[in-house]
Amino acid sequence: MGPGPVTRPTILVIDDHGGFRATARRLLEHDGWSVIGEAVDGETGLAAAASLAPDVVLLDIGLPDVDGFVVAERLATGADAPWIVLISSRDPETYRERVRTSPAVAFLSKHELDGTALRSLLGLTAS
Amino acid sequence: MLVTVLAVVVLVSGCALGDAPPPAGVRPDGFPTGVFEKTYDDPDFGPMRLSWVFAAHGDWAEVPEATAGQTTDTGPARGHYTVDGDLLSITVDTPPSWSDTQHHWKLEGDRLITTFEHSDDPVDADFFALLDRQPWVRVP
Repeated sequence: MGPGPVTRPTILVIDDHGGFRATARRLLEHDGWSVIGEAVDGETGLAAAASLAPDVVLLDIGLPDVDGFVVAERLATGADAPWIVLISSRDPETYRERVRTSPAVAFLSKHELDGTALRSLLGLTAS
Repeated sequence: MLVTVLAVVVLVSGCALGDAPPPAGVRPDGFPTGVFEKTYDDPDFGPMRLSWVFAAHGDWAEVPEATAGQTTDTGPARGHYTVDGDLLSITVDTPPSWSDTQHHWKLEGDRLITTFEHSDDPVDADFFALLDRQPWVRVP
């Protein structure tokens, strides 16, 4: 699961809040990521992931249509499934057990988003 | 930084989900962590949205976004913040030309109200006079 060494990893941001998507895009692109898509809900996000094939999906848990954990399960079923990083503004303790049993590789609080640290976390050293 | 990120990676079992989990993020000193945003009309760039990101461990970021499709050359700024009572001090690491600033702050629900106090750059006073007209709103 997940990409191999990449120079500029690609990422899809799924979050219903436009302000956060814009903030995440600018922070990640500034840190060497290529934000290849944004989606406002789970179904749109699943379709975008299928068509764009990102290395990583940054996935909000609290989506308006489908629970982020359900989206993660569906994203993980593909042969070339992306790495899934769950995000939320809620306390990480709130989701501890569900994150543990999900196919996501990590959970990040939204305010901890940092593209350089995310690359390191996922082992995506620049080649 | 990696250690910081790893610290928030949840990999062990624990509590159950509630229907309405609380927002994360108030430090022991009472200052809120999270992503806060506001919109304003910049006299040079037009309609803008500005986000301030306060991480629990003291990292700070400012992310501008032009909301009407206009072009700006201003990228994210990064630095650190400290809180002493009602005084918020922001130390800017990048861009290196930016001055550190100090602000008074108070929290009203999900709204963070900051009031400019000091900067070594005289231009900042005018900018924050514009920016301080409305509160920062927490991004859910």
